[in-house]
Amino acid sequence: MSRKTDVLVIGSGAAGLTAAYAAAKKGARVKLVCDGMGCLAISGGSIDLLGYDREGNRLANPYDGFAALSPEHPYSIAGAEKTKEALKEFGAALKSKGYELKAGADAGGAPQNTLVPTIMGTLKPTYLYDAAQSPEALVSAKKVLVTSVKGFRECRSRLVIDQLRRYPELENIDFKEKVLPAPFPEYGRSLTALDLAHFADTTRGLEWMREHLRGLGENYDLVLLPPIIGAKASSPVRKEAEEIMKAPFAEMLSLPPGVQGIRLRSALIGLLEDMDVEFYENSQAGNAKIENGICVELESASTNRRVIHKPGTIVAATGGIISGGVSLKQGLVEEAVFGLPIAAPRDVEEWSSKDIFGEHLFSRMGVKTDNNFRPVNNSGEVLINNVFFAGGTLGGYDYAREKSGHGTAIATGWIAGCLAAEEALNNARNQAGAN
Amino acid sequence: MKVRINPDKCIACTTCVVNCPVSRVTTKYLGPRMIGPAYQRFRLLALAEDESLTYCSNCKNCEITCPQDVPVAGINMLARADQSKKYGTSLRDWVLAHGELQAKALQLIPASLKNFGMLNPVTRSILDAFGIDKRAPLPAFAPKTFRQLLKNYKQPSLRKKIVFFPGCFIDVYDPLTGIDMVWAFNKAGYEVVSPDDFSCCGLPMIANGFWEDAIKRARNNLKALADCREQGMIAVTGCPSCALMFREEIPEYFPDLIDELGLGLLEDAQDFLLQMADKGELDIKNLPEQPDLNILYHAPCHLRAQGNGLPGLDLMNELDGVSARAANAGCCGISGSYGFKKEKYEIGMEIGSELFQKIKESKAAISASECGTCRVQMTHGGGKPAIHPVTVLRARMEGKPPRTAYNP
Ligand SMILES: Cc1cc2nc3c(=O)[nH]c(=O)nc-3n(C[C@H](O)[C@H](O)[C@H](O)COP(=O)(O)OP(=O)(O)OC[C@H]3O[C@@H](n4cnc5c(N)ncnc54)[C@H](O)[C@@H]3O)c2cc1C
Ligand code: SF4
Ligand code: SF4
Repeated sequence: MSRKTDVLVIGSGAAGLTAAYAAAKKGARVKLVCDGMGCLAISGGSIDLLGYDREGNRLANPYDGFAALSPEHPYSIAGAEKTKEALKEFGAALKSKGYELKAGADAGGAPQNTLVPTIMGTLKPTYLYDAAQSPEALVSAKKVLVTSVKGFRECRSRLVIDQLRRYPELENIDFKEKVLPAPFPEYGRSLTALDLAHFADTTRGLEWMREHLRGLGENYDLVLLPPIIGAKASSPVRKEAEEIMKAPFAEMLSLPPGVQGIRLRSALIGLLEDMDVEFYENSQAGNAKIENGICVELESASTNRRVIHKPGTIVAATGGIISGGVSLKQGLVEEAVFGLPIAAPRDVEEWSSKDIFGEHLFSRMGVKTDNNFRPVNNSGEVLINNVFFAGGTLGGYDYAREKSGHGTAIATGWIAGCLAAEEALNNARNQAGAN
Repeated sequence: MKVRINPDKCIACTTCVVNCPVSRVTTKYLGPRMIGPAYQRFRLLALAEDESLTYCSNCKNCEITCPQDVPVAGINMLARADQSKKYGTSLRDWVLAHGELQAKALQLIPASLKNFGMLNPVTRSILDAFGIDKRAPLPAFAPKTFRQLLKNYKQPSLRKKIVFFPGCFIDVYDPLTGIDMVWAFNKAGYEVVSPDDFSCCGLPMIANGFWEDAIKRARNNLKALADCREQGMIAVTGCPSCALMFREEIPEYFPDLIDELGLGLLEDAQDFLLQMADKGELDIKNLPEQPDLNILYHAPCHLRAQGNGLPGLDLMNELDGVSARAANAGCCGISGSYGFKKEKYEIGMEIGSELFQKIKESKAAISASECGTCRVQMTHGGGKPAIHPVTVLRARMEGKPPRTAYNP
């Protein structure tokens, strides 16, 4: 059967979920098609805006880096003002679901990146993070307690401390370690941060935390923990943690699954639930029918099934190469849903640099758009008028290198969602008027 | 038998681990990535099976969320079949996988006696010792099966015919929901046939390791469906797990059968009725005056796995005065017969706890879901009646409050 909707969103990563919410909030009827659930669920969950410039220098204020970005960069298309506005609206929406984000700021209140430690003992600059936590206290702390949990082998407090000490800005900190006992037997496998976080959401887990975290931070300026303080958007234990430990705390970023991303995702899903956004899970969008520059039909396919959608507008938030938004076939790079060509050198050798940590062309490959995030050809002509692109599938940036992943996804997702809703509702009104 | 299952696409991203309801509540399970694609490499080297394989409930959330389309649950079920072949299966699992046969064997005994026999505390303690948890919400046998009822049900004689695959739950425990379905299809201009040749879809046998029994059922059902196709009839079902079995599982596990007998698909009955309503062939617009109805809807995992959206939810929301909201609370924890098993009962209840909470907190007095065993679990954990979306459709069209008892 064919199904009508105002806006169809493809992808359920940070960009797709944000776009779906923004569009629904504008009053559009929204459906979301996804094949897999995107990087947000496994990510660290703090929102990187812009951590490094192209030369690899760490940026104190992320917005200071915007002016030097290339014109194709999604932030250049969105502009700093719209990016700020999108992040603000996004934050306000999440807060209504019990998940509050806080933005780093310097003494004068200007935006500032915050260095967050990882369970490998490295530091990563990020911009928005869980308001219950205080990673910003790290650089000015004198005494810091690093905790780990027995049985959770990925995180070893000794190792974290040795690594962190190598950073000049942390040189003078007096680090101590504490290994908490395992809350339950390991059975067949070692524990993960996610196991511990789920446990913390149970009544028994809450009691365990209250017992073992009690007073842990007395005499310390900050307690660092693996991400184990609950896996829900508003876990009771997270609200209590600082009070129980008697010190500010921050969770270290872990390897996937990062736990904090799950919290953020569940807050977003809660928002979409209130808006009655309907999901078509486990299905792949494709086979678009384009008439006069308008996508009039789009299929979502799963095993032995094809559903035809007739949306007013579409947001394509399909991610990069790994998520399936960009496909590589025999030296040809293509946007995967609509088959839009993506410019790439003929010689595949040129796609990547010899230095694996260097700048790779392939990570910047993606869809080229106009100022409204609609796809364009090389001469800048819009190819499909009712399709808006967002997130990792956009070209012109390398999120991993510059640390801008969720930031670009959320900003462009928000903007694309608003544009898609406005256009769909406008067209529907015009059509109703014409009839 | 050749099988199109490939573990090599796994990129170890852990998305499935985040979404596996069993790993969420117990570390006794190694988890989808480890037991599925990762352990498959050891299996290929003929290493001993990891015993936590038995914890996989075949709910398919791993497959729904995997970005690389790795058939994780499929890998697990194949491994389970292999284990059963090597080491045999338990009688308890046989009983749970073959509800259809017990119903047949018990057909001559009146339901009251059957149920007294099955559901009284003494039997329940014996079943408990046998491995079926005494707290588990075992459904009661209906006095007559759906197909027995259908034979005596007066349908208008209509030119267009449609095939209804009842599935064991409706056939054996909940035939009146099947009759609601027949009623609705009659209103849409279709006379319903439900051939006696249909057997269990075989999914419970896959989930419990009875591979050969599942193949037998699949062969039988595909033959019956081929006959229906020849007569130009479309087949539908109201059960998402049966639909999944025909659309995805049989072609994946038994491709030879498809080569031999053709692809036999069951359309989603709710989707079909919605289309009829869209075309104006089912009139759901001129309903009798009646009070508004709030419903909390639970999307069965096996429906979500099929990439067809939630047509049952859409159907209910097309009805004037009905407001149905999706619970979005993940798996209910029953997974067919998983939650009945003694060593899994508490795991199932813990998995379903978020859904139960939502049912309890919802202002809706009734919840709804297409899957029969989900409904049993929802009532057990949430304390409110749970009904099929088509039962809601019929009630609103007739202007009566919906029937909430299985066999009043
Ligand atoms: C392990 C990891 C950790 C990270 N941690 C952080 C962090 O802590 N902070 C941060 O800021 N950034 C982080 N990032 C980067 C960040 O996750 C991404 O840059 C950003 O979230 C991309 O979001 P997206 O929605 O554009 O794409 P994705 O998250 O890739 O989502 C794409 C979606 O589209 C779907 N899709 C693709 N093609 C189709 C199709 N044809 N039909 C239907 N659906 C389709 C996919 O299934 C998926 O749901 C991390 C990335 C990774 C991999
Ligand atoms: S089928 Fe369900 S229980 Fe089994 S691995 Fe997948 S998600 Fe986990
Ligand atoms: S989600 Fe898929 S690709 Fe990722 S770890 Fe699980 S099976 Fe592997």
